[in-house]
Amino acid sequence: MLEIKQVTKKFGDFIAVDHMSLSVAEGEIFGFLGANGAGKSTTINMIAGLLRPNAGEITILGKDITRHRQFAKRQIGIVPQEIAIYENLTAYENVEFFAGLYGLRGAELRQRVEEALEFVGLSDKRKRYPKHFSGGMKRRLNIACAIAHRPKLIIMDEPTVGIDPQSRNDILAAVKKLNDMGCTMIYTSHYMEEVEEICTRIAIIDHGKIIAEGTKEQLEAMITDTKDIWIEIRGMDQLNKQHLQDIPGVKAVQCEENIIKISSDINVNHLNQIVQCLINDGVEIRSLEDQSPNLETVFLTLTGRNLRDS
Amino acid sequence: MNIVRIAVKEIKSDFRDARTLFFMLLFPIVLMFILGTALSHAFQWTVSIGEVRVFYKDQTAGQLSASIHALAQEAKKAHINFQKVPDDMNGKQAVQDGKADGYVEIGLHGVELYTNEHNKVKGAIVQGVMGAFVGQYQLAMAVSQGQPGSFQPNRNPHEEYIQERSLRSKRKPGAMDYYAVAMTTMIALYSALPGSSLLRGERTRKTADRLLAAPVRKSEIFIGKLAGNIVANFLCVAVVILFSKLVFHAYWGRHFSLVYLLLLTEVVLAISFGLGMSYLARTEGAARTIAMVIIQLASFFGGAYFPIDETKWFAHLSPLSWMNETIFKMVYANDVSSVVPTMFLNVGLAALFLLIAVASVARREGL
Ligand SMILES: Nc1ncnc2c1ncn2[C@@H]1O[C@H](COP(=O)(O)OP(=O)(O)OP(=O)(O)O)[C@@H](O)[C@H]1O
Ligand SMILES: [Mg+2]
Repeated sequence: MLEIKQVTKKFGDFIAVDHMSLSVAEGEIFGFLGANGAGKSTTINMIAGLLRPNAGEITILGKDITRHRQFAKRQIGIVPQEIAIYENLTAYENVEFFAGLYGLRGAELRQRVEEALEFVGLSDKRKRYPKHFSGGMKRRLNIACAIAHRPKLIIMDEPTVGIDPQSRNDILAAVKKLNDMGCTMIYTSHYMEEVEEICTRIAIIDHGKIIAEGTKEQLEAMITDTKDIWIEIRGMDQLNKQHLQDIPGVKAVQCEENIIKISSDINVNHLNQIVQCLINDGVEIRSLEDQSPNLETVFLTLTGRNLRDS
Repeated sequence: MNIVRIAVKEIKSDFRDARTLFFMLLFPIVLMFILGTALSHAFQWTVSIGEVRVFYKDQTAGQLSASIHALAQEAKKAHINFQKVPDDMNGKQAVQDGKADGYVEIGLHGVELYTNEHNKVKGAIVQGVMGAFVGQYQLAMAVSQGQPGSFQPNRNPHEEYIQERSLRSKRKPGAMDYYAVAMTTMIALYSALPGSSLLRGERTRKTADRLLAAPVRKSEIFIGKLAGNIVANFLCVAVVILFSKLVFHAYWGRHFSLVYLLLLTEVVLAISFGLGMSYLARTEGAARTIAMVIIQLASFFGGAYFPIDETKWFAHLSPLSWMNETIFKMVYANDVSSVVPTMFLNVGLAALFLLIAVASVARREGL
């Protein structure tokens, strides 16, 4: 379906995407996982033809997107990271306008617009203006605008940012449903759980490069030597992170409010040492949890960073 | 087809935008009403333009001399003062110095007219009167704009005496007539504001990405948006003209379609200016501010709020000056000679600004 070969994108001297290669097969839900500024949106915008790569080649259904621009654009539906709709047009008019740009006309256009609105659950709001919409409703309209022309490849760039859990579940369900209907999906997110839940394959992107790629199981297998220990404490300010890091077998330490997250070697038992260290520092342990590896640990291990630093 | 789609969307959303409706419709109509009625007494139109002073020297006797005398009598009713001056007086200099709006020399060889080129409206009126007069008598006339010698043969000998040239017209531009024109040309200039966010707005709204991801060419987006905005803003201008005509009974003269055409070119100029600014300025806010400041200055010096002394040099820098002047000449002196040059000026400047925009759009990856 989609093939990216050695693609590079520079903004001035800054290399946002660095010799990236990947391929997405038909019927997949392909996940892009990466921290802020990793280069996810830049990659997606090149696929959608919004940015021109400085080097490399992108093909869709075997056709080069720069040489077959119009063809490529027709195959793609893009849900931009930021909501891109017109406030002065109703929900219906927004979808109608964008679908119209893909050459849909008359009764067919009307039917597709209705379908798309129905699909995202905005049928009853079709005559309303988006300025009266909640964040979740705008996000859903943002999706409707991208699917009415029935693209073969739908790219969603963080479609669940800043919305309530209900809308988020609706959107995840919609992604799966679109996939069941035969659409190939590319899905980017900060949220590990989302990617874990819906993606058939995942690429972890960091500094414009793919540092790991595979199914969830494959990725987790790459780091079976790592596990997570979560400790809820009181008195974070008394903690000296370095003391924990000095304990043999500890790979990384993350502190967030009152939670300490320790990635450690699965083969070393150092729970006693960790607890002792915390007591020495004078912090109060409230709970402790020993977790087996998941994508979050994969990410942390591979990039040395938390997915949601920011 | 995509162009039409984009243009229609543009018109639709423009007319739903409270800001557009306020600036382009309500604002000019209210101002027209306030200025046109409140200033109707204070308005010194009849003094500043209605009273035209013409010096003349008559070196002939008989038929022509008598006619000139009759003309002078006739013209007085229309506030045009023909004043015979002594032979030794330098009439041309008097015109140059602004002591008179026209100087006529009647000699055996014919009639020569001098007007001051800085005083186009009055000059046009004097020209009109003399043209008609000479036409009546089937004489050749040398019309000169401060430099004598250019010779213009009379084209229509059957032109009706004076009346045809609106001299006898009962119409005198009142405050409302003045502000109807001035406000209309002013709001046409306000089209620069939507122009300044025409493409930039799509970028800040992120809809530019959607447009560019669709199988649509950049040129289609550009032309569609431009065309849509021109139509939307021109419709507002047309509504304001009609409103002033039907409700305020402002006088728009007989060349109604020319007035519209002229204003269309002004809308094109204003939008192109705003668009050009949006690519020259760093931010959308800056572009808007620059456009706003220039609109305000142009309005002020172009006579939107009160008539500006035409002899001042700065009065000619504003597009409103040349627009208003052209329209007043057309409406009150029946003189359409500067319509085409004004249209060319508007369109030419517009092309310049569009060139800036097109060059910038072509260079960048987005809009
Ligand atoms: N137009 C641009 N000009 C200059 N730098 C840019 C531009 N667009 C993106 N960048 C930079 O390229 C890098 C990658 O950005 P990108 O938007 O692709 O990240 P991302 O993975 O989508 O991050 P996020 O999760 O925050 O959306 C960032 O460091 C960003 O600052
Ligand atoms: Mg992004």
